[in-house]
Amino acid sequence: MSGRSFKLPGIQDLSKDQDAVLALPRDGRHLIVGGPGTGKTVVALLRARRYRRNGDTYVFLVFNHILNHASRQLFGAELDSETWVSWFHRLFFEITGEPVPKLAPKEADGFEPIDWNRAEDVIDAMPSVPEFERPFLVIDEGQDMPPQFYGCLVNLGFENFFVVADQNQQITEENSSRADIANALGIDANEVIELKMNFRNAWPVARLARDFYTGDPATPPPDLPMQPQGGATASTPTLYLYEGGNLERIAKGILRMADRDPRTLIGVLAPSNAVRQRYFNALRSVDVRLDNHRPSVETFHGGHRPELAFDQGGVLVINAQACKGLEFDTVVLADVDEHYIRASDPDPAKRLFHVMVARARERVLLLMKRDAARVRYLEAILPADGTALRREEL
Amino acid sequence: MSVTGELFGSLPVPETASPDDSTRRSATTPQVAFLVTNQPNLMYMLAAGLVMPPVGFDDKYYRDPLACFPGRIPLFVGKVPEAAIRIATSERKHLKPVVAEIWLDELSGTVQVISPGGMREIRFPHEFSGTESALLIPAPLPVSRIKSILFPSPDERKAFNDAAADFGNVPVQDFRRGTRKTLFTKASSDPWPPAWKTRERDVPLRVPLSAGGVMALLLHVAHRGGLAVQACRQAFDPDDPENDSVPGSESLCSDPILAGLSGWMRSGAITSPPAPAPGSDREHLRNVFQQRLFWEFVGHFLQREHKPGRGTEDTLLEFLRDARETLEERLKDGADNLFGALKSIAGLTGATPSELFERHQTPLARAMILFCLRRSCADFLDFDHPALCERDWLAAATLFGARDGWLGMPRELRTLPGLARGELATAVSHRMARLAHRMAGTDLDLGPCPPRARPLRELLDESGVWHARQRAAAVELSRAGKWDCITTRVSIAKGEYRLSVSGGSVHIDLPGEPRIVSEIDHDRFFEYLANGRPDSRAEARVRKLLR
Repeated sequence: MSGRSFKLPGIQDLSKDQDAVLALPRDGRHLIVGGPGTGKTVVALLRARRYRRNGDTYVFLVFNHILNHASRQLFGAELDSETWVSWFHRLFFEITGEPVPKLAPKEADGFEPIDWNRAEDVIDAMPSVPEFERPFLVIDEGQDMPPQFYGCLVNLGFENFFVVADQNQQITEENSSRADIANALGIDANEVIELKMNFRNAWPVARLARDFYTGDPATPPPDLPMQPQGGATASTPTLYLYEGGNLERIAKGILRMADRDPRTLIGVLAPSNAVRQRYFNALRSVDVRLDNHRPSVETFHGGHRPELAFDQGGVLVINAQACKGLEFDTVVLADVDEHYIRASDPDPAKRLFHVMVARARERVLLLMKRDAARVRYLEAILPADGTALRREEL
Repeated sequence: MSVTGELFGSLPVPETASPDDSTRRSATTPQVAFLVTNQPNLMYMLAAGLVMPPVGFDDKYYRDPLACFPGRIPLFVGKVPEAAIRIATSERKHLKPVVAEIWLDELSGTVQVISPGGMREIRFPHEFSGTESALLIPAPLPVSRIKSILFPSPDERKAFNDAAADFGNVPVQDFRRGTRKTLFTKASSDPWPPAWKTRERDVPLRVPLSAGGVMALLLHVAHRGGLAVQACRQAFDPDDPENDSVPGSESLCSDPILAGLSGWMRSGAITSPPAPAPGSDREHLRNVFQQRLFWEFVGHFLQREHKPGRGTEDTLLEFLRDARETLEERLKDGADNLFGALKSIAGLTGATPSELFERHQTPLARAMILFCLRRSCADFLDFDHPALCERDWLAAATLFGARDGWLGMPRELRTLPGLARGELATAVSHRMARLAHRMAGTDLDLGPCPPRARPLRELLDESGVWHARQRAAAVELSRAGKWDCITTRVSIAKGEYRLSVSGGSVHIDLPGEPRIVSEIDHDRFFEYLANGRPDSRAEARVRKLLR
């Protein structure tokens, strides 16, 4: 049984703007923008579901393997999804007979970026584009694909695009702005649909995320969900101070949270590989009395792809950089004191905190070692207001 | 005009007027009238179970003729005005018009009508003259009165089907859908809305919608025991005089929480128990406050907006914090402990469910703990814990149902295996509308109440002697659930039995024919039924058997 599989929303759960997105014609080029939690992925999945129901050929393109894995598990194996890079490499080879041109590696890891100028040249040099079945394209996190990606697809004759994007969540250097995507696809600025209301995050979570918002007029932060009357007594994000040498109590607490509702997916987001491994080890080894079977505890890092169960509850320990686009019921920010924060430019750290906090549907817990040395810069970006972030000794 | 196109089935609705009706209705009284709206509004009403005014939609309402006479449902007789269609699609460019054909049979009471001469109040149906172009019926009406949903073209019907399939709670398959182009192309040029105004009616909808959720959830937990069956009966038919004569009804009345159920389901009113006499023992005191706090919390919750992002725990804790001040001194420690436990559920210091239930043993506390432990009605129904007793389940089911209401029920909770399509929805929808009219004090008679869906436990009649079908049903359920409560008796005639071996087999030769009877241990059977939801395919077969 899938504990967390994709469930169709109730009619009361979607906004009028989302209704308008769902009512868009089956054909054509559509761009939907919105901040975290505005339901972009929901409308994209519903779009894919409609294509599937109608027997249309489509492909749901996502940024990376972990998002592909999560989308397929949540939606079901019937989702025709792929990472955009894999899909593009295959498509390019099938049509041009050549591999996608690459640039020389810039980093020590040997990664060769796509040479988009040469890729465009190869397509332009073709006397005519051969006939092939062009699927409907549903693109999630469309801001993370470069503008030339869209340009190449248009030149290859693709006509039907449904792109959801958030300019504030760019995580690569090769990304696209809202205007880039609209220009590449020939979409008029007033035809872009903006989703404004935050539906994913509980109000206290959304409020904390907003405290880390660095501002970008192209995609304003989503409107906050309705504020609870009488205040958020239980769900206020909490910063726990703990004895750094002893993770046992923390690990027990996290496992008990998972045990109270085995369908809950808890994301433990770590600032570094070392912290990720430390939490993973503690969660795997600590002795704790629970009502149910011990929850699944998994981790993920570059080059290692375990079978993560996004459709089941449990605990997933990952690096902060890998969390974008994912959704958890509860997010635990591990050892926030170990994030690198530049005093002269705290915005990159704030953006990362914004993305991390916005991954949570219901709850956010922050953990900081009591004896941490580098808390001055961290404190400068954390809200001081106790109603936004409660502080507790553990 | 006939409805063309595919037929997807329909809710059980009367096909013809009964003989009684024919004497009350004039020859000109129409059997159906038309509601003009747009597709998303109609889908919302199908999900809510009520044809209702804009106030029922929260912020998801698109302007349509329902806004023209607030609190009343405009139903057009014969032709629909073109202007009404325009209004229904005026708010957003993607809106498409749709018409719901509404049964008027067996509907009676004071309504307003619009005719060329103006607007007036009549007693429907016998004062209906035949010249009227529209009826303004006090809202709401049950969606079971929708005879069919009519579209201008097959494409728009398909668009409606596609859009409805995006949602988990729009039961279009329960309704007949077809195309009737002329309704839209030959619409009348009558002005709409007319210049006349009516006084705005307040339509209480939160409690009725919430009551619909309680009916559904109590039906889903009614396998838990005899008290659960009683609670289910009270939720659906609080006025049924037979309720009091059913064995076990006195347990319901004496239950500190469930005693308030029938009053709430009957009128939406929360009746506070009498204040405890000074010096009352702790047990009595606790029961009185349990009842009071439980139903006051239901009322408190319904006054709040139901929006995404609203934390159930926060609403509950806010309520408990305020309610603590009204408690007797002796009970404040217990309330503080509960407050602390509920608050800790969200954090790193919370206990396991077993520890929570061990420390908090009243149905009120346990229902509130469950309310914080599980997010949705479906999650709640999938939960199980050996420490919980029947009263705990019932209190929690009432809270979950009241919070999510009928609108919040996903399709899978809007039925039970073996029920006819739309059977539960029809029963709930009618009762929600009836409660709304009762609360508003209208004289609108919605016609005969459709029978409620009966819990399996009631069909199997725990207290009586089983007839053959009931016994067969119990055997079927026990087999499917592998419940260890079947005893098989083989009766054979007296005589000598001969054992023979031939080939690889052993044979026993008996005189006459043995009688083989499977007996069910009643107590064990009902214990199994209480502790586990029956296999759904077996339940479907059993319901057919017992129908």
